[in-house]
Amino acid sequence: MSTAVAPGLTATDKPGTAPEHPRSFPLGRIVVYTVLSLAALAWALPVWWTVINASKSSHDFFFHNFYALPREFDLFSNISAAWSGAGLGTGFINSLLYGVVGAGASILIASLASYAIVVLRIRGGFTIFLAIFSATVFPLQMYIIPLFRMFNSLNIYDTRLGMFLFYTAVSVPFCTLVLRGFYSTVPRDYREAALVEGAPEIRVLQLIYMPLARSAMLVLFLFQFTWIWNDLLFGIVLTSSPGVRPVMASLSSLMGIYAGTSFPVVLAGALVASSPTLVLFFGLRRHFTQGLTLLARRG
Amino acid sequence: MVLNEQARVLGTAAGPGVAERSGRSTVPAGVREGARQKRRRKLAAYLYVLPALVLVVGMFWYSAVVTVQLSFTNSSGIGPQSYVGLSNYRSMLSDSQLSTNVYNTLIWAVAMVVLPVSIGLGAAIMVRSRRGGGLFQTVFYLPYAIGFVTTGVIWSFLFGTNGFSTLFQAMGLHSLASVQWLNDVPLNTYSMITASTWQIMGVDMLLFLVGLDTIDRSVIEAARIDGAAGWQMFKGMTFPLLTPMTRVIIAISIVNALQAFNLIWIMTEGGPYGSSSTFAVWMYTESFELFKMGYGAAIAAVLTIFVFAVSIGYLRRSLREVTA
Repeated sequence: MSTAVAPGLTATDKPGTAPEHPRSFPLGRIVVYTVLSLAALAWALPVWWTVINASKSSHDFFFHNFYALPREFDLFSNISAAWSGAGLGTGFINSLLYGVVGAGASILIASLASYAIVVLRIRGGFTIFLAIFSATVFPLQMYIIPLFRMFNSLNIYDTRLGMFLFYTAVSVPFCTLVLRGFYSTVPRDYREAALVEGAPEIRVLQLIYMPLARSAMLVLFLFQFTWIWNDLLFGIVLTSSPGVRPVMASLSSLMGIYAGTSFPVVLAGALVASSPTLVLFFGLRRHFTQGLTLLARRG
Repeated sequence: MVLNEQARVLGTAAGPGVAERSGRSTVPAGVREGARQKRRRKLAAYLYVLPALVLVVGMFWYSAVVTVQLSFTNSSGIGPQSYVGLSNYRSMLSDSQLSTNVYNTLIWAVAMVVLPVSIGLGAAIMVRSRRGGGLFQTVFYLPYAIGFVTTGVIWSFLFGTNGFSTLFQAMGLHSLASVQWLNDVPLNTYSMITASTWQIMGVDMLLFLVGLDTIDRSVIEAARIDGAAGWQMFKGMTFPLLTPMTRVIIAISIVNALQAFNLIWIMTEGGPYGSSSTFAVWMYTESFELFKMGYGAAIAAVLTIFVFAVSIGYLRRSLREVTA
């Protein structure tokens, strides 16, 4: 145990040996900045190399060093080749739909469930909450075979409807966890006052609870949209045609097709596929950190 | 993914909410209802949970049960199947791929606990309240924001023949230049772990930064006045105070690493010859490439036992410490 935590030992006890402020050691600061800069270089260079190689022609890529700058600027033609190849463009639009509908619908459904559990206090509410919340605690591998078979027998395999249903369902447990926590903090007087005024229950949820939870919902939307956008496993298990495949599954097939012949096209496709989450994360970074804080406090 | 996992870990520990515990009436004073109306209102309340329950029970609880059932059959997907008892589990024990998959899965779990977590902790301490810290945070966080499929594509390119090899060639390091990063065993697993560390570290850093923010400033200030700084401060004060967050991050990392699939699927598909496969990749290959779904279900069930063993052991310990 260091002297730092020894009780009673304060600067005023030993005025002669008052500690220097850490600022007075520039050597330490130099070391920290050197380490940080080297690490930042290691983290940034792969992205830089991706950007410059996504801008090269295949000839340039295969015959010159990967760290050299491109000789001609082919980024846009590579992007358009990627967009139309292996259904990446359709995948992009599919995933936008899946992300918006899946995240939106699951927030609505979880909102209803949380309201019944926490505000209406239905009997067995906590058990129902556990059943909803713990449905996704298994490794994802536990779900894929039965879902594949179920989707086939219900004729929703390789359909957008099937993907909407799946992505909504997979987002419900986490949304319920967060919204249940949030709704339990809303003062109950609000609802009782509204009921006395004659408002039906659904209006109380819609006009009082949901607007209050707006920031929590934004965080949820961000998390769930990102999860859906990045999903690969269910995309390859539950779909097969390019018209239905989500973007990451399309990117994976694009890689299979072009890796040997035109890697710059694959890299350009990867950049396109990453752009929405990049925009979301850096545009809404404050909300993302808020979300993390929200989670950490609950622990 | 990581975040969902975290929610799982945290949520299981969260316990019942205050609201459900207190048994106050839901009917507001001053509103009188007939018994029939009251019952209707109560039934209507159950309609609110119905969509969530139907989706989640119908898709996930159902699937989990069916997977266990299938693991005792010789199902090939859609055709007829028959009950074969424990034979899938028995043939797993004698499968020559078992040891490779167990070994790789363990390597992933250990490496993902050690590397991104320790680098993330170091980065969090170093960037915190330092001039230019925000810029460094952005750079470290960038790979997480671009997602793992793109991460896989980028590192396939760097570890491929047109990547690092040409750099080493130019530097005159011919022995390094001839290394096949994604083909040589066991190097291929380590290469993918490098890519995964690169991707995940930033989010671990962010979580540690959140943890650092929750530490009581006055305690740290008091220690600083006492003369603590640098390593001493970290060892004696900061690290012990961060323990709850460290625990959560380690639990998430293990649970995620045991299920390592995405990056491997993009970069090697578990190959060459299954040498870089893990349990999750093995399960997928047996079920959806070879259509041995009964066998795949058994692999999934064994993976679940691993994941639960780790998370229950871990959660119980942290619960005890939180409640003590």
